[in-house]
Amino acid sequence: MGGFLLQKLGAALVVLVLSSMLVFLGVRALPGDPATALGAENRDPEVMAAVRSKYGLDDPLPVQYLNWIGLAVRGDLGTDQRELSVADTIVERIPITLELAALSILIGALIGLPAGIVAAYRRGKPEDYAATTGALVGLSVPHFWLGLMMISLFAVHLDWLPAGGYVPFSENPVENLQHMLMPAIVLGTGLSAVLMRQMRSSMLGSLSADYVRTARAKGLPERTVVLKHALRNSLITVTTVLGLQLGALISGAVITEQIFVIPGFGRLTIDAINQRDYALLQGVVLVAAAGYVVVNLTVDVLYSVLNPRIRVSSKPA
Amino acid sequence: MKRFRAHSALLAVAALAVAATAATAATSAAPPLKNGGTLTIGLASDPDALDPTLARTFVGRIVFLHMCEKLYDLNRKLEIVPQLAASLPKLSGDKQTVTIVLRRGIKFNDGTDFDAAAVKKSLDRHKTLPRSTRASEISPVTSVDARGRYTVVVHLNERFSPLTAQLADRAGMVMSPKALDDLGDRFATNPVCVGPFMYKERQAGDHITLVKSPHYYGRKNVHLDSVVFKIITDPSARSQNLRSHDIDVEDTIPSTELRAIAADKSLRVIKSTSIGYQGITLNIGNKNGVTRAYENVGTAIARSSDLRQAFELALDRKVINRVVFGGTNQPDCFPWAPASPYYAAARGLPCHLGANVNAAKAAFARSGARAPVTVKLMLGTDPIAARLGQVIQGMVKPIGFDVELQPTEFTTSLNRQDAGNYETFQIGWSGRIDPDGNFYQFVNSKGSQNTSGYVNGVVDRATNNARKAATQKARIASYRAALRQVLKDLPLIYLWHPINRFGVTRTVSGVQVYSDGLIRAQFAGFKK
Amino acid sequence: MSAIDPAVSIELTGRARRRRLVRKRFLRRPFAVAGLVVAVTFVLVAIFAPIVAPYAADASDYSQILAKPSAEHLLGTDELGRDVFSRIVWGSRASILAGVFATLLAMAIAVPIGLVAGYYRGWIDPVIARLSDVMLAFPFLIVAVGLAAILGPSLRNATIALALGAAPALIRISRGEALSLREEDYVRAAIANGASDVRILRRHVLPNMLSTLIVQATVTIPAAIIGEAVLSFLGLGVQSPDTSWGVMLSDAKDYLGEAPRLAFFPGMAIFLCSLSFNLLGDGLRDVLDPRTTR
Repeated sequence: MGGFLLQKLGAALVVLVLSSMLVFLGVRALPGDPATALGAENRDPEVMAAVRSKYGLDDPLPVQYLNWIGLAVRGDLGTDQRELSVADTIVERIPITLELAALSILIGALIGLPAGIVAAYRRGKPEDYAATTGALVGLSVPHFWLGLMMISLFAVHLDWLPAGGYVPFSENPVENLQHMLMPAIVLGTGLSAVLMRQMRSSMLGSLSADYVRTARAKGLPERTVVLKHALRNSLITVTTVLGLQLGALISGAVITEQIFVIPGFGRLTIDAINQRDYALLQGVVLVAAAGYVVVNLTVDVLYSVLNPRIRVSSKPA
Repeated sequence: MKRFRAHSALLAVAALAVAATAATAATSAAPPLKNGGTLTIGLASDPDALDPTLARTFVGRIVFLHMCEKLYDLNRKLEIVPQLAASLPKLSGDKQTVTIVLRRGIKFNDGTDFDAAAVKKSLDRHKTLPRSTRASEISPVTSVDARGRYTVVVHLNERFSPLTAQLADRAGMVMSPKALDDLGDRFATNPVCVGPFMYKERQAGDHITLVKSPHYYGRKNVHLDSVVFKIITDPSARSQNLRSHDIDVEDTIPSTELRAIAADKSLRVIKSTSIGYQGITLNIGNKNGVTRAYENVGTAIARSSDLRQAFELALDRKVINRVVFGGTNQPDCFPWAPASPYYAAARGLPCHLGANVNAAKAAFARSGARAPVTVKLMLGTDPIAARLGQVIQGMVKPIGFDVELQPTEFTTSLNRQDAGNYETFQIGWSGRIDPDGNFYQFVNSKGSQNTSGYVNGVVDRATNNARKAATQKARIASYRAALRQVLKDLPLIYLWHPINRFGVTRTVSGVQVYSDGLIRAQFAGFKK
Repeated sequence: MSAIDPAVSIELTGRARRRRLVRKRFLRRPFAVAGLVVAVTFVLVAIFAPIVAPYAADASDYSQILAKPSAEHLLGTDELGRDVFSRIVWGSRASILAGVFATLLAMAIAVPIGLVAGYYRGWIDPVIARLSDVMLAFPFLIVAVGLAAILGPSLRNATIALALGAAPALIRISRGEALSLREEDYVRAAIANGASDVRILRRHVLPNMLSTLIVQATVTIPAAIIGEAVLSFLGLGVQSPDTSWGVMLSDAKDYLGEAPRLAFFPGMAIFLCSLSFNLLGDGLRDVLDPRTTR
């Protein structure tokens, strides 16, 4: 187990470093002189020189990178165009997106997992067809369109739910959930479809396995057998799917936050690029990439804990 | 003796009667306001740094209005009136020394005293801080002296009549010396000035919170406990928030939501005709950057004034207004709003609000160009700009122009405009009180914002004369001559004057908007 | 049909017989057939747009702004008086083009890379794995926004961004396929016989990956179509006067109260197109992969 963990950790670190370099270079590739963006109206050469020296824009690229990374690992991501701390802004916004992600996963699991179990158990019967078709529909619906349609129906015409915005949970839990309900449903729909299919396929696999037949032969009630496997497969399924769908979840969060005007981390990225706020952009994308690597690592470790066969087969051939 | 006392008694009674009626008139005009409550204002974009020396955005000025008073301000008629100064500035004989007397008994929002030394410190900072965006606004200022506790003397290296107007904007904002000492150029993290409200906290891209200041000299007139600026960039979302009463004031109602908001009995709409304009700037000679040497950029549209004429004649200003803005703006062909006395300069000059397709085609033919002529149009990234771009594309296509839209982020577009890296640009100007401020810097060859790279002797002479002329009539005549030439060469095409609309919930009273477009709610409050 | 061992049939009976088998199994699945028909219809509409659409995409009639559906305008008009039905037809070009080309580009990048990683293993495998992990660490939307900012927004750049987003998953799949095929008996036999790597890859590995790749392609296309819609919705893809379904949704956003149908129709088009490809892909997977039973 130890060797396996170390291997995964080492890989994650490599990815992290490469990603940070990519972020750094990507931001530098954006058109427009960063000094101009920071000193806009002042084409005065003295002012520009002052801006360049303040942000170290004249140092060679590797030096700039090392300066930035050195500060970043200590939690200092610099200040944005408004002179506000980038790290503070990110820390303020991440919990909001995490809440959205958590609610979406919850909704996705509540719909997708039971549907997958039923479909596997009743394979070939009408329930299976219904669930499988439903999953396909869920996969094909463009989620941002679903969001727009829901806003039109529930907010504009029926006035049941707010059209957008955010209220912190600590301030008013009921309003917070009211604001998060539609966005979470929008994101959760696609997730539920993937979860359903994955759950169905893994349940099918284990329901026909030898040891299940043996258990049945021993006389254990059908329901117990199914439930026990369902539970274990649920965890594995959710973990696997999350690992694969994480990128899609983040992309989905970006656009969902845009439509529902939620001040989350996803929107921050788009705003930073649109405003050419280089310091903010660097910090945000770095944190996003780092977060992704960390979550992936966690998922990998969890998966190996739940499914010991993987650990064994990962030894070099 | 007796007559005198009887007269004075009568006078006293009369005076009292007048005062009584005046008092009742005043109180019946303004409803009684509660003390307390939080006013939430929905802004259309996020201000940049809350530091008067560095700030560049228009919305930032709205926030500053509530927490950072200036030496001078504007009244409803857009006349300059003293705010932190005690009176209008006194000029020396050669007009190069300006003496400003300050009001007394004022404290900054951290409790420290407001005095001439503080004003000097702020003005020096505006002039000398490396990234200052105020420096070019007060460039003729050479030095500032504090004479005594309440007098400031400003020395100029040449006559500069716009100085007072500049001191009625961010260059006139005074910052607390103690805060400047503590924070330096991180002043924006906790800005302290003189103001009815003071900064509490801010979340980037989401909101800014101000709370009532216990140190403000006019705090008796301040009713609200706090003001929160919520940043809602999406226009429909902002209007929805107003209708659901999540915000109390909406900045700039989009035309698509106007009908619904006007029909809502719980809301009222404030109309404010801008003193500025919106139009298209065409790059004729800006090849190397503005204020550098101008030479024709070589595009088809730059080389032929006939082509520019054809483009302009194809545009239907009335249809643009109707289709893109629901008829809510004021189509026009000139840089000054019709309400301005200087609008008379446009009398007799050609202006078509509808399209003149035949004349457009004739002008195109005269230019000798072969259709289609590609024209790149740089514009904003919002949906309204998208609609406008598409309408313009459709209007000029039958004439022979292929418009290529380049939606560009705002700051980038300004940089590109300055650098000459554009062909045409849909941009406006928020407007200045003096007519010179809407015209000179764009069309005079020495103008600081002549991003079209336009050079014309007639226009130069006429605009310089307008600056020096003594009477309004003489200035109008000069502007007419300049405008006539500009309409022939078309470095700029003027299309409309914005009429901005703001939504306010009826439970609030005292929110005002002057023609400068800034939301003023310092002394507003909730009705009892 | 009696159950024939697929591995044996591939080598013994040849391609033609296999194709006939596939076609028969496919036609027995109504959903898959429906998917094929609808998907082909969309593609044909996109190709023959100039004939199908009654109006040009940017033909504005300012006297008919936001008109309701009528005989003259089947689905009504939008905020600039343009025929919605025609715009959906013209818009299908951008959406389907993006979907198909992004998928092809992604496969062109991913398959060779995955093949090399899975077949040769050794040191190149972990290197490729790490590089594809780096690609995955950047959500495709952020990459797309960045690309649009650097190179300018256009359908071409959106397609590139979509391809880059789809590539990592395809690398993983082709690697997996190559890995398992490498262990097959006939491949080992060929290696033992001294056949060159290129010959083995060309004759034995690639053709047997084909069915998996086809299935993956038909599943990647709808994701790319939705992806293009997202990018155009954000203003990063197709630019005016060209249109796409995503652009139509973006325009419709301001009119959700007045005319929700402006958002409903283009979204429905995306949904149906995507659904049809997904049904097709699912059907193909059931039919081409002999290991799944239903």
